[in-house]
Amino acid sequence: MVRLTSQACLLVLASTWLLSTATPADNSSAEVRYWLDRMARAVETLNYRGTLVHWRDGQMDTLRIIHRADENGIRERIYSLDGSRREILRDGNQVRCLLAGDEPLVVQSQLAARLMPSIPLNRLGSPESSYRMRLGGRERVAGMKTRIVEIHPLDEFRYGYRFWLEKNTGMLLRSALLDHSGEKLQHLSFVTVELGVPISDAELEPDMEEVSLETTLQDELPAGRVLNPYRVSFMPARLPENFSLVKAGSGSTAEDGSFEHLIFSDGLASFSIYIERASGEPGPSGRVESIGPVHVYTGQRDGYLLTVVGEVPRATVEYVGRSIEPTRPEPVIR
Amino acid sequence: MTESSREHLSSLMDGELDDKAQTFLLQRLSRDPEMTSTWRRYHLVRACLHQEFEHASDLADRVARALDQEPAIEQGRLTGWLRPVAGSAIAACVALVAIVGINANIMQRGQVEPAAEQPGFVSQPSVLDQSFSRPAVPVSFTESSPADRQRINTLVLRHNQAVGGSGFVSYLPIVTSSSGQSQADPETESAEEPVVQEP
Repeated sequence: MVRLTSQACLLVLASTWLLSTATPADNSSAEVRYWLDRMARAVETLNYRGTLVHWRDGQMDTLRIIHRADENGIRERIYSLDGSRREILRDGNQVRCLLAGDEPLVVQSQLAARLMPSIPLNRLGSPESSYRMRLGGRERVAGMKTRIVEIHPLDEFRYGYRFWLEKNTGMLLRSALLDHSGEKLQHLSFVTVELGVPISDAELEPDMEEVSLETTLQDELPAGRVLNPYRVSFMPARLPENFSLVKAGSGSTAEDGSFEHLIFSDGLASFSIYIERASGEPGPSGRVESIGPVHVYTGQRDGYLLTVVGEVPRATVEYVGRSIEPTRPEPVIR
Repeated sequence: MTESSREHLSSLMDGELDDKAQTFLLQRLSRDPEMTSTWRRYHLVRACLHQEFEHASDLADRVARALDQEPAIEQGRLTGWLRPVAGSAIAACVALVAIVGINANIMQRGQVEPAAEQPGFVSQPSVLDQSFSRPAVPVSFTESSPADRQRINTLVLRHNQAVGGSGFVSYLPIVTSSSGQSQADPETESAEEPVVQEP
């Protein structure tokens, strides 16, 4: 009886509330969604080999990308052609990161793959979206015809994007990252690219020398599992509008102990919150690091290290990071 | 509305429809008021499932516990994402009804505050930055200790893997040299100043 009453109340209230806030997606956003879906598929499922130019903060880089997707999964190799040697190798769930001067880094994340194959871009056109999106003109990039997709953020908690997508496949050939005011933060563009070509194993082997895997294995998550959102130890008390929790999981590192991993998304941008036991002295109350457009907030609370990571503006990670609160008197992770 | 229409709506929400079916359904959705209202209800339930209203988590917990003691809910008509968590969804929704006013305030704060005094450009100090009790200590990534760099790179990689996103693009920040020195400068200038991304 109790349930019947609350359900009835709920339906009435919910419909009234939503009637005032929501409208169905219109055709133009359906079209943009179509292009974004194609882009996401093409970038992962096509074979390609190309050279691209990357520009940020007045600094230019030339990079080489080799990508193969077949019945054995995805293998990818990205390496720098200028400056110090830097290389990323992706093989299914495993990512190896080889940076000159740093210890090689291996992240093998089964948890991640199980958590989220990919965030469905097609929720973007939902009425509560925080972006204004439209199809732009047609341009030629790397010798191919492209269609431009423009995405403008409606507040300063997310970036804007402009994508140049190859006409037939939807492959991303050029992209610009913009801030809320429309200033360009980052530009990348293929100079040459071959789509749908066979890629040999040899092309996917690293150039850089590697230390043996035993010493580089940083992170192994055989026991990764999905968490009930009600069971997580910490939650942000506030989120920028339209960001919501899409997944919660937990895992353990090879070194010490377990961590919780929360993923938030607004349908396009996303950030993660990691909750782990702090080791050593309590650090400063909060700090933000940036790796290009990626911002990382690190803070401590009740003996826990709280990290917010994502390709979102600095304002976003700080806004969220400073509001993270324990959800119960005794956190559940060890 | 037929059972199959509901199935289709559910698939649309899960992004499981092909492009053609999706376009068709969206067109129908814009004309059919009953379908539109079902669509809205589904969104509300999903919002609850995803805890967009997690400010009510205590209340939701309490209601969930109360519901646990009730006889099992009739599940036959719930499909896809609705099925497994119907109990907690309803709990969260009940909680939502109770706190809808509070939540509206919270939503507005995030939106209105930065806009009130500043146009909200990332490159300018905003109300948001001033309201923090203690300013963050900005640290250049290259000045971080190797252990810190490793930790952060690990988290960035793990995040990239988890969200998928647009493939190689998300890995570029780590491979490009500007992740080193050049972008560190604006970061170290002042604790009061938010990040300045020179065009």
